Amino acid sequence: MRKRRTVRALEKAAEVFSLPSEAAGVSRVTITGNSRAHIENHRGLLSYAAEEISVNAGRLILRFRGAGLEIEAMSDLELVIKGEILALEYLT
Amino acid sequence: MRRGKSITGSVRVAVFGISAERLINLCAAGEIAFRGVKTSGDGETELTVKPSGLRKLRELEKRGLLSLSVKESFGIPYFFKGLRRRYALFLGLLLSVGAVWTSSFYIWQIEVRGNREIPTAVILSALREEGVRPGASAFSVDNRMLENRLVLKIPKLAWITVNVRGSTAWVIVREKTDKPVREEKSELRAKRGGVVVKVVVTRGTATVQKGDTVAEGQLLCESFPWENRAEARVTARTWYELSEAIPVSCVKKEYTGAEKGRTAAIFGEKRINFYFTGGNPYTCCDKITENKRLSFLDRGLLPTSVLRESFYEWRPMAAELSEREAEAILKARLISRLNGMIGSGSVTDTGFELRREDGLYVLTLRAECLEEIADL
Repeated sequence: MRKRRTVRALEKAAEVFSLPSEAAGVSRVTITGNSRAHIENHRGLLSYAAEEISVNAGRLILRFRGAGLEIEAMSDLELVIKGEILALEYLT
Repeated sequence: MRRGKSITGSVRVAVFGISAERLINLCAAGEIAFRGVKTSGDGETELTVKPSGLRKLRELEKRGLLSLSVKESFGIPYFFKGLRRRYALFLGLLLSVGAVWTSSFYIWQIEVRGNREIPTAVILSALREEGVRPGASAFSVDNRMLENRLVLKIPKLAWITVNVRGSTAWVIVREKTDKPVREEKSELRAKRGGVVVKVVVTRGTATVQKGDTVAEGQLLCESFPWENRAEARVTARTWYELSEAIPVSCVKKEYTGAEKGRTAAIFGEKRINFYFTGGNPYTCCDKITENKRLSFLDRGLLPTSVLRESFYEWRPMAAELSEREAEAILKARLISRLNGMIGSGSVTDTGFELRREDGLYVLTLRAECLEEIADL
């Protein structure tokens, strides 16, 4: 709970000082067409299947739905999903 | 399946006992590069990793986090690993590389450039006498000594240098140029008879003018004794009548369809025949020799070439030349002869007449030309 509060405080601070939200550790999702998604500042994978990939993005859970989804590359901070992306859900 | 990363190698592994998402998170945390993740319903996850990634996964397996099996490995490291116990192959490879490396210290080909009058064979022969020949060590070439000796040996040689690059010795030659001898002529005479169409005198006095008919040897231009020499361009219309003959009956080749081939290998200056009978296999035959020199990685030619000789048998057949064939052959000969006679002049009109007499085809060319007739 304390961590979540800290994140929120950081987000507020970034907003007040006109800093980009990524500086406060908020995830950034870039989707190119419907075939590639690039997620920065993720906290790991929650589920992995060809039809659905869930990514822990801190306060949110990003759920990609589609067909033939797969992880193209992944590091501690970044993640690239490729495949036919049909939907992206934000779960709190 | 994509088979990239063939230089560094990659491995396709199947991982059990761990969910795909946990495995991927572990890979990301452990900086294990992966691709091509595939999951199956029975808890098996397949992915492709580098050899370094496989080592890290093995460590995770030792810690009991997962169990894995290698499904396929590809790339150069695994190719060589597969050949690890094939000692003879390795030895052969090492010997081949060693042989190629050693042969690069020797001259296997000599290329001569820059000679115009001195035949290449003369230069090669002189070089051979000085020890520069196929098979000689590339380090034994002493340029200065070679230049001094060869200039004495070949009088027309001004300068020579030998640059050894790879297994090829590039011999660059400069020849002495003779000082032009100026022939002082006070008279210009006609080298051929004709009708003068143009006279341009640059030194001296012309003795003919446009429209004059001149005979061979007639004086065209003369200079005074205090002038250097007479100089003039006298263009005249000239006429030629040339004849060439060819026998009506001839011998033509009739190929029987029989052919034989044989192969030989040349190592340095040694020839190894892969056949037992020497000489031509047929009494009458055409022989085509094909010499393929072997090269290694474009760095130079190896001292090895493969010689392929093909023999095509033919029978001599008595035949008669047709008028058309005879005319074509004779026409080519006559035109070539005429061009040689008029030099830089031009042919303005030609006429040919073919006749058959005493078993010969005789073609006569009558030509009208424009040419310089002053004998410079």
